[in-house]
Amino acid sequence: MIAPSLSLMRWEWFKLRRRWMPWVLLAVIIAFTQVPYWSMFAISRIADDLVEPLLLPVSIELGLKVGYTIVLASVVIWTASAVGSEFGWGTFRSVLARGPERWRFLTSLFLLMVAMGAAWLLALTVAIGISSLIVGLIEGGSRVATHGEWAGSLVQLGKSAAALVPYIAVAMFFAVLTTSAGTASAITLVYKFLVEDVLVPIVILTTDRSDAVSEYVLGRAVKGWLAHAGDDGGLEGVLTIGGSLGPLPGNIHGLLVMLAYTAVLGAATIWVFQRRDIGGAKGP
Amino acid sequence: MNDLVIQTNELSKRYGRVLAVDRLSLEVPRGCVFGLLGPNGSGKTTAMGMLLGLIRPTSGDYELFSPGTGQSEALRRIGAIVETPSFYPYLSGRSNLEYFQGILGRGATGEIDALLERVGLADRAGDRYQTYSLGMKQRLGIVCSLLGGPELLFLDEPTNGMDPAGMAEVRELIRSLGDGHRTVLLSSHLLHEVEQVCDSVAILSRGKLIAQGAVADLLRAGEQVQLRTTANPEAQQVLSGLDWVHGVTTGGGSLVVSAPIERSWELTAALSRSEVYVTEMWPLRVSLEEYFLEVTSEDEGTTR
Repeated sequence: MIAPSLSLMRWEWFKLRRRWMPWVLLAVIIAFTQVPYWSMFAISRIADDLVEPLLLPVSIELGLKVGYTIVLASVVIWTASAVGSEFGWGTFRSVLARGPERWRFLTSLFLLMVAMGAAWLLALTVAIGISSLIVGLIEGGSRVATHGEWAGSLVQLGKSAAALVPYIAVAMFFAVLTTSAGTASAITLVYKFLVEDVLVPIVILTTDRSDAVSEYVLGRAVKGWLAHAGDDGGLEGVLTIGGSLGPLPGNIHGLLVMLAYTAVLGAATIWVFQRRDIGGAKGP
Repeated sequence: MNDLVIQTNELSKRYGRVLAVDRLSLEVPRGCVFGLLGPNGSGKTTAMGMLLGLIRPTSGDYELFSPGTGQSEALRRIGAIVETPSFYPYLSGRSNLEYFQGILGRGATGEIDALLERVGLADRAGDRYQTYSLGMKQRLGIVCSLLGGPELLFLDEPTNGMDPAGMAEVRELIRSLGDGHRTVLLSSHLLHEVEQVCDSVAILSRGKLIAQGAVADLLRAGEQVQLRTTANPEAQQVLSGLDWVHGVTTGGGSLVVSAPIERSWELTAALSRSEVYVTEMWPLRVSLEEYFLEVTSEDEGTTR
C-alpha cells in the first residue's frame, strides 16, 4: 500500500519540478525573508542591541516567524495550482484512465505538497543561516549558543512545517470542489487572511461566550501550536486594539485541532473526488 | 463472461434532464476491432468514460475482462484516448510518456522510443507538448495508450485532426493492433473509417443502442436486389409472398427487393414458376454509411 503511493509521489515530483511556479515561489520566499533580515542588519549598525537576534540560532526562529506566512501563502497557491491545473488541462482523465485509485493519487499529491512546504521552510532556514554566518563574520564577535537554543530552532522548524498541513488540506479541498486553481487559491487565502485573521478576532471581541468557540478556529489553533512552550501563548493572545482575545490554545490542543481539520477536510476531499465525473480539458 | 472483454448491462448516464446514455447493453468480443458508431452527442464518449471509471453511471453496471476484475486492475490492462488527448503542456512529448509509464509502473526500456518511431513522432519527441499540432497530439495519445502493452484499447476519434496520409497510417496501425489477443474499441463518426477497420460495430443514437453485430452481418441485412421483369405488378405480388423477402418497392420501371443477394436465384425461380421472367437483375450492396443513415433515421422517426 505504501510502495504504490511512494511511486506516485516520485512521479508527481518528476512532473511538478519541471514547472516554473515552485521555483519562482521559492525565490519569493527567500527574498521575502532576506530583505527584512538585511534591513534589520542595516538598522543594527545604528542600534547595537539589534544585532543579537540576527545571529544564530536565534535568527532561525526569527526567520521562521517572518517566513511562515509567505510559505503558507505559497504552499496554498501551489497546491491549488497543482490540483486545479489537472482539471484545467484535462490530465486527470489521462492519469486516472491508467489505473491509479483516486484516493491514492490525491494522497500522494497531498504528501508531496507537505514535503515541498517543509522543503521551502528548510530552504529559508538555510538562507537565514548563511546570512547569519555572514553577519557574524562582519560583526566579528561570536555568541555561544546553548544546545537548548539549537534544539528550539529545530523544533520551531518542525512545528512550522506541521502548521502548513491543515492549510494544504483546505486548498486541496477547494481545488477539488471548484476544479479551478484560481478560485481555490482565492478562497483559501481569503479564509486564512481575512476570515481567520480579521473577522474571527472581531467576532471574538464583539460577542460574549465566543472564547470556547475560538479555541476550535484553525487559525487560533495554529497560533497556539506555534507559540513557545514556555510562554503559554499569552502574549500572542493579546490584541492591543479593542481588548483581549484571551489566551491562545495550548500546544497539544492546537495540534489536535489541526489534526481534526486535516482529517475532516482530507476525507471530504476524497469523498468529493471519488464522486466527481472527470472530463477533458476546459479549454484556454 | 465467456469470451467477451466488455459487457455492459443497462448502463445509463443522466445529466439533469438529458439522458446521455440510455440502458446500454453492449457485448464486445475479445480479440477484435469493435466500432462504436454514432453522430455527435450520441453518447459514445460518455459510454467510454463510464467504462474507464471516469464517469459515474446513473444506473446499470458493467464488467471488464472477467467477473470480479476490479476497476483499478482492469484499467492497468487498458490503454485509452478519450476525445482529444490531454497531456502536460510544459513537458516534452517524451517526458509525458515517461511520466505515464512511471505511474503505470510497467513498460520495458526502449518501449517509448520504439513506439515514437512507429507513429513517426521520434523527431519531435523532445519538443514541448504545447507546440504540437492536433495530429501530433493524437499520435502522442496513441503512443501513450500503447504503453505497457494493454490488452484492451479505447480509441475515441483517434484520427481527429490528422491529414489523409496520417489517417491512413493510423487506420493501418489500428488494424494491426486488433490482430491477435488485443481488443480495440474504436469510437468514430467517420463511417468509412469504421467500415475499413472494424470487425463488429455498435450503433448509438441519442444514447441508445440501435444496432449491434458483425459489420458483414449488418450490411448483409441491408442488401437489396434490383430487377426488371416481363410483368412487374405480378412480380411484386409473387415476391411479396416469400417469407424471407423483407420488402418490395417499385420505381423507375424496376423492382427493388430487400433480400440477401446470395438468394437471387431463388427470386428468379419463384418468378418463373409464375410465368414471370426476369429481363435484368443487379445487386444493390449498402455501405455502412447507408446502413447507418437508415437505422438512425428509423430511430429518429420512432422517437419523434
